[in-house]
Amino acid sequence: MYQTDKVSITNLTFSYQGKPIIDNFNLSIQKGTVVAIMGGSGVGKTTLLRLISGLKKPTKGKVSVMGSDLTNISNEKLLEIRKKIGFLFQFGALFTDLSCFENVAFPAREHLNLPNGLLNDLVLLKLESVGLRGAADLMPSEISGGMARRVALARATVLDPDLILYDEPFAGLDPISLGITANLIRKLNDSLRATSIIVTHDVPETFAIADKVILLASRPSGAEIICEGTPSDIKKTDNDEVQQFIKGKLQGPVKFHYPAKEIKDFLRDG
Amino acid sequence: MVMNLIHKTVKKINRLGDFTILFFELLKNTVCFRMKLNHVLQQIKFLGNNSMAIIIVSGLFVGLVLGLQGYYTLRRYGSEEALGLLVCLSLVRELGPVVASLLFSGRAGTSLTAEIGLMRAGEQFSALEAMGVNPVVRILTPRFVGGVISVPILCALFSAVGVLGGWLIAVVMIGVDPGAFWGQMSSGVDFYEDVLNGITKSCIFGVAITQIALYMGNSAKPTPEGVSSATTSCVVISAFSILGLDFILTAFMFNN
Repeated sequence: MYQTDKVSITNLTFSYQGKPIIDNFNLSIQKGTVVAIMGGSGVGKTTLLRLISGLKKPTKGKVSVMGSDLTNISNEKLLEIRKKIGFLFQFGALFTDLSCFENVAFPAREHLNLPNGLLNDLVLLKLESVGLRGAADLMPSEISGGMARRVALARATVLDPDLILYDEPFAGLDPISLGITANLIRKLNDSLRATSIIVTHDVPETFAIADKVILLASRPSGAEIICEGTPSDIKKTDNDEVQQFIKGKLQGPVKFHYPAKEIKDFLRDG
Repeated sequence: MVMNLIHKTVKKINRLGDFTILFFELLKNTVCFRMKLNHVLQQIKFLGNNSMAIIIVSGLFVGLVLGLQGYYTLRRYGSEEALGLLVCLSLVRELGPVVASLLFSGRAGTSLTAEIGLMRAGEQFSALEAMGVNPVVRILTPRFVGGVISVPILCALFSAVGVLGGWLIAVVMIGVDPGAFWGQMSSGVDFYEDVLNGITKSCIFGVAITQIALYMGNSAKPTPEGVSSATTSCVVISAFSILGLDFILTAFMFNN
């Protein structure tokens, strides 16, 4: 069967400890695109990314990645599919007992039988692409959080994956690294002919590189898509919730405070 | 109150189920040799070699004390020559496997639990899964095999050093006849009945300690409190398991 959608989510529902996180969610992501999933904190963006990678199992519904239904698959097949997926974790998730070089080399050592010279070149090229060839011999404890995320980016792409999932790739980066990383995500996607899904809050950088943006909002029944389209479509939409998010307005339908009773109910009289 | 009790019981049963599933998964991976040899060797070095110092020093002191206590008791009956036999049987049958296993659980079991717990907390297990690597095969199995191989060797080392400690006290310090010391020992200690049973005990303890340490780390909450509590539980449960298993094994092994 010819498959144009790299990722297809149908009627997905996910609850955690009885609390609905995602409810009846539908999404399809076409091959070769950079798709950004955006929304406020705690809306369920990271959970969605984990459901797409099969790290979490949905309560109901179907998640299909590269033509395989992840909800009805053996663990061995799931691991095989994941070899074609790169995942950048929010805090890097580097192996703390391995150097930056060894961290990047890890997936290649596990899955490919490359000669040492070739592996060395591959790892150094990947580190060069994130500007950290000079940090190859440093341990994760010796580099900053932003640098750790760049090493993790090199590790996520070392096997030239077909699908790359980025969880907050811009968080904690300085302005220079931020621009370079955003361009790198776009370039990697185009050069590898891959598909990228970015979960982020960073509006300007994401809008500059994404083909499609999906905005999520929190509802009592779980996360729901409030707007989707190209970055220019999103900018033009007159939905107050969307405008508040992309412009970072204080006033609007989205409340800053977590739902609670009135503060006066908690204060002592007088 | 009743609901709370039921909830807690169900939770315990669930944990027992998870423990058993992990054990059979580790056993299957070991039997099918799904891990890499160099990863196992690294773990033998980390768990076994690094525990040698504490095992040797403790074994020596236990042997010295056994020698002294044994001498004070045997002297009353004029049987000082049997000191070698007493020291060796005590060590090979009981103290070697039990004390060395308790020391191993404190030295290496806790480090295993903390390491696995922190790897989980730092999303390193999720990272492995995300890159198509099974963490049970890549991380847990080499540690399991490394621990299971290390414990019997450390127990044997503990017993050997303990016998030397007993010899130091009995022959060098007190002046027991060395011929009688070694002769009584070699004639009174049966290889199958005593040595092999001791080795069997230490192998079973090795499986128990390593499995408990790995399970505790693997099921720890991904927080500093969670890892700390899992590490404490690892020592406590390992100690109870070693002592309980020792009683059961002794009852079966030495009932003639």
